[in-house]
Amino acid sequence: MEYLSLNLLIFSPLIIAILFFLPIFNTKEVFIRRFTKTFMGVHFVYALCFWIFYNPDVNFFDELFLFGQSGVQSLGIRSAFAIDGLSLVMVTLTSFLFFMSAISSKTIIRHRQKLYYGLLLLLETSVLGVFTSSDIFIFFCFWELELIPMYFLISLWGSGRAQKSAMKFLLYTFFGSLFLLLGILLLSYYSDTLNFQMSSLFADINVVDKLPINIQILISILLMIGFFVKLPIIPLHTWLPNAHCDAPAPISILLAGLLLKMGAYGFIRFNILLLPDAFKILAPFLIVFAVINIIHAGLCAYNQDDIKKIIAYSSISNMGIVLLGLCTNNEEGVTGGIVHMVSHGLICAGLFMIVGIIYNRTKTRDIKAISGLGTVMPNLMGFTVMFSFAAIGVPLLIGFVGEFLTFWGAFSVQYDSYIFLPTVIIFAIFVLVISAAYMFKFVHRIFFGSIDNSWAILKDLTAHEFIVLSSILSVIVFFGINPMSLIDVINPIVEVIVESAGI
Amino acid sequence: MANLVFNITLFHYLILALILFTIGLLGVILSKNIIKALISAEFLISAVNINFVAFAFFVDSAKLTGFIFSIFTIAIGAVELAIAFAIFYLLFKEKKTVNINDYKELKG
Amino acid sequence: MEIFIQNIGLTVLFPLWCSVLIFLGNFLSILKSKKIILSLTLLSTTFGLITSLFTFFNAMVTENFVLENTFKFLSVNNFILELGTYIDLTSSFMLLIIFTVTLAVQIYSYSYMYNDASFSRFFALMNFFTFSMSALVLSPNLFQIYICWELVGVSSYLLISFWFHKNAASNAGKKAFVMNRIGDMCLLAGIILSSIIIYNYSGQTDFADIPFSSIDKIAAYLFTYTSEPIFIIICVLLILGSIAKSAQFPLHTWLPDAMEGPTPVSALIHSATMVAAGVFLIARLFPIYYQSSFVMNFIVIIGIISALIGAFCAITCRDIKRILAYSTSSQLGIMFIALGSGALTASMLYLATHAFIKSMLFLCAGLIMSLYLGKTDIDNFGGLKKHMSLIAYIFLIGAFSLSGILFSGFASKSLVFHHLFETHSYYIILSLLVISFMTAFYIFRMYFLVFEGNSHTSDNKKYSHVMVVPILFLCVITLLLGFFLPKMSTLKYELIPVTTELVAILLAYLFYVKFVNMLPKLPILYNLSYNKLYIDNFYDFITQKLYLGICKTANFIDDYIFDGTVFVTVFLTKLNAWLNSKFQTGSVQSYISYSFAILALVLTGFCLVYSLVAYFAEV
Repeated sequence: MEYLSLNLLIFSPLIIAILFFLPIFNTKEVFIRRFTKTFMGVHFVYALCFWIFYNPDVNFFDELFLFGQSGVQSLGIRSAFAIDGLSLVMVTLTSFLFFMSAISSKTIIRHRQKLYYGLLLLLETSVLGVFTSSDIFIFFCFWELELIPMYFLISLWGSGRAQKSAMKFLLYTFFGSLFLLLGILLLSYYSDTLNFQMSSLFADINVVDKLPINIQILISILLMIGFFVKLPIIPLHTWLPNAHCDAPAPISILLAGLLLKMGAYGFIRFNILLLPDAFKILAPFLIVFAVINIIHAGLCAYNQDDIKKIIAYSSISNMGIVLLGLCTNNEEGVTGGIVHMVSHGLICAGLFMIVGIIYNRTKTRDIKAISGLGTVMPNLMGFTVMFSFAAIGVPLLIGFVGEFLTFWGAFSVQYDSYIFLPTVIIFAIFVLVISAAYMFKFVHRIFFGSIDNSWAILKDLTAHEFIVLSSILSVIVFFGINPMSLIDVINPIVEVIVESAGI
Repeated sequence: MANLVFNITLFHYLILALILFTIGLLGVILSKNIIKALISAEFLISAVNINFVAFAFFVDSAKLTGFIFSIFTIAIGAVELAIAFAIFYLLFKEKKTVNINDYKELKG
Repeated sequence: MEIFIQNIGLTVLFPLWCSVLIFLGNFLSILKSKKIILSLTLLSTTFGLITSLFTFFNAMVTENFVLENTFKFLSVNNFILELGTYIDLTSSFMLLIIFTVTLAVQIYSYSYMYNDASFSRFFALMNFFTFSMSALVLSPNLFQIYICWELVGVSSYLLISFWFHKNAASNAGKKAFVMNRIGDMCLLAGIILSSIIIYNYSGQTDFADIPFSSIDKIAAYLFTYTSEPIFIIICVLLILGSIAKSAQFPLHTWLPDAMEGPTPVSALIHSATMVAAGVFLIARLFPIYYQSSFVMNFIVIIGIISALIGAFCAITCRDIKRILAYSTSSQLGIMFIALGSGALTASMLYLATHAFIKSMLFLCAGLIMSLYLGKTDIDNFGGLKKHMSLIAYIFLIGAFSLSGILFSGFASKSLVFHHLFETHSYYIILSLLVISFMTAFYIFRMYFLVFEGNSHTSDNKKYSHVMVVPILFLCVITLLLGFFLPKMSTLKYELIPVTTELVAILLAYLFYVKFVNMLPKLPILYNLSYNKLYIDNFYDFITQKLYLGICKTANFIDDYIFDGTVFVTVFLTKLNAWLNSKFQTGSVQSYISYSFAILALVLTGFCLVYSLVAYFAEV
């Protein structure tokens, strides 16, 4: 295990990105594209090594030393990185989705490729940094760093009103980060040691228990606003449909697959693990929010005419399921929530890829303008149907595992003082029908029925697209048939969560 | 006549500086010629310098900080003047005018 | 023999492998030969048939035969979900029915689908269906039932919309899937609720996945640890799952539409196997339901309503496949009635005979349709007896059997009647008599309109003999199965229903053969029946108007309240920016004056406040 370097995993994309802009580097775009793809493949294999050699008792831990120092010592900031079960899953997912995104960029990104791939690599470093940093300050730095490449990736290569959407995304997220920063500052203000290390803060607050409960709730709410913008939870979700719609397909994959998960990840790390007392008080209300999220976004998705918006709203709806699972406070529900994070990351990535392909071919996103594509694109239709099944939670695909465990956990929630909760939770299960309604509206309108003559010349999947879709699908099927390989990895952290936040 | 010996106090210096500063400020704000505005700006610096020296003389026992500061200010003023003239020269080459109202490139 | 029974899991897995093999083979263009595809499929199905035969006989001779093989699928905390196989008499019986019908239908589909471009997709999906259906009946616990419940739903959906370029097929598939999904949702809710009650209250954490091997204990726990209303809610939720899958009222409207799929699919999935899963589930959970008379009555009432509606709609239906579909819904209703009145064995036997009769009738209908270029309207046919007498006689056997006058249909129906007479449930008997009357009427109406009367075409139709073999096979089973059923030789119990049915046949003969123009006109009843009691219109209203309206409202809230807030914030910021930009004149001199003015203001204010504070501090 010592021979796996966490720093290398996190910062190698950044180094490659810097390398691109050195004058000695080959500037041919084809070369850059292939180089990035190869690098991302190697990176994914490296990340898989972490998974293979993972031992739940010993977490990977690494510190970055610059000029002989690790961070700003006087402020207690250490640039320390650690991987436990949760981080491991997210890191592997990150590496995998970036690899997929880089492959799928070929047909869609046709200009300024050097800048594009450079930004993509920068984004990878920042996302990996968020998922691994064990220091709150470093966490926040990476959290903010991710916005910069994302803004440019959406605004420069997007379609439609890309610049406006990118600006909305940027400002909205900054708005959330403001509260996040305030919460973090309060947190460090109230912990004596002026130490941003998550583990020591955890020990401080939890064991000594000196933080007054109302301050805890205040901090918890502040942090929550920051994370809920990312997650997103109604009513802080309105940036998402626009940003997803106008981003190019490979970036939509990352947005849906990873950036939303950052919100959930932060929620677990801070709200549940750092401030469990406040979380216990807030959880019943969060469940209500989650259920509203699930139902409301599902209903909205049915009414959309823009195919990307359907998927975007479905993504919001699914994040509601994640929140519901995390707030159940029992092992089944929390496991379900985390599994659903992963499954939604994979499924939504696939669906956005599909939508991107359709848009790339037809140049329209209006669902009413497209019909009967299944006749000319049978392979794409096959993939779409499979991904839709996964999205609505058909068994033996990973979507089922997360959804099922979440509902199991949610139904057995025990908050005795809140008698309205069971009634609310019952509504969550309507997502089974609602999701089927919008997913199959999408599939049937686009692929089924008689074909319009203007679409008769469209080409089926190219090799690149095929590789991306089939590899994502194979992961979905693998974990769907063998969910224990995922659950075993996250089980230790789930136990910690339930222990700290459980009743 | 002997009774008319002027006892110059800090207050007098401050009044002088104030008058100079006001003149300079009005000059900067009101003059239409950019060179005039620059000269007025030099008045401002002089006013501040007088204050420095006066405070140093009357208040500071070591009588050093204020003098050093004023020397610094004079040096920086000279440098600033040189840069400003360079910019004005370029602006003049571009616009063929020294009227301040014609330089409204900053307007958003 | 032992080796077959021990490895019964293979019967489940072989079709799955076949399916994957055919799918991948077609995709990579390796496996193109239709003969190889068929032989692969038949190999796995025959293996399944032999295994299930052995298993069934073994289960018959051994008392309380039970064999369970499980592995862990999912385990979190103490909640362990196991998958595997569980064989007892019921499941081996179901398995036998499934594989028999599947074998017949697969042989039939070879020539039925031979010229279809998506031949291999069809067989891949059929195999996938066989996999999920056999896994369903072999489920060791309720959770595997749910998993397979969804999988059969998926394969049924994919096969209904098999010809996806047809709008009708596409819509029918969507309708079937969403309606089944409603049932699945209720089923899942019921399963989770009962599982949680077992898990949290009874302390029996290893029963959390509700294994069937100890269903009696679970039923007792469930009844003990819940209050009456909760128990009924759980049962009704579970039954709603069965209702959707078995096309019972009020979730029955998907089944007639599902006839848009290829006919072999209708014969296999939508008449014999998948729709019977609902009945199978009720039979499995019978010990739970049996504890509450309310639940049992609920099942009976649902059965009666569905049977009546199905039969009523079938009387005026003009589409030969839809008549059979309504008939399926109605016959499944009879099984519900039998189950609800406690006749477990009778309903399972009724399920078996119905499966063979109905799939045989469907295969006949498919044969007729294939000769008429896929036309299904009953007006196109007539006098077909002259062209295909063999098929006509087979259909006649099926019709007699379905209406319960002769052969296996008679035997199984008399079992149901016997039970009802024994338990003196006269209201149920009365409604069942009405249903039988209508059944005999509509099936003979169909027979007379299609096979008797004047021929519309003169040319002699040629049909593939490969397609007749499976029909004959099923016909033989229909003829002989009656002799293997237990006999209840009380004449009075048999006389009343048979007489009713004979009267119905006579009426049908009079109306549709003898006096064709003498049909009594009952416009209100006719319209009600022809428009399927307006239930479809009602559902259309719900989905097209009500649901869409709710969605529109949600979207409105999203756009104008949530996003509106953001928009207003942005607007205010922009307004502010616009106002402030007015101060930006570009003239440096005005900037200096502003800044000095503000500085002066601030200083003055500061001095003022400071002196005021100092003044009041002194005072």
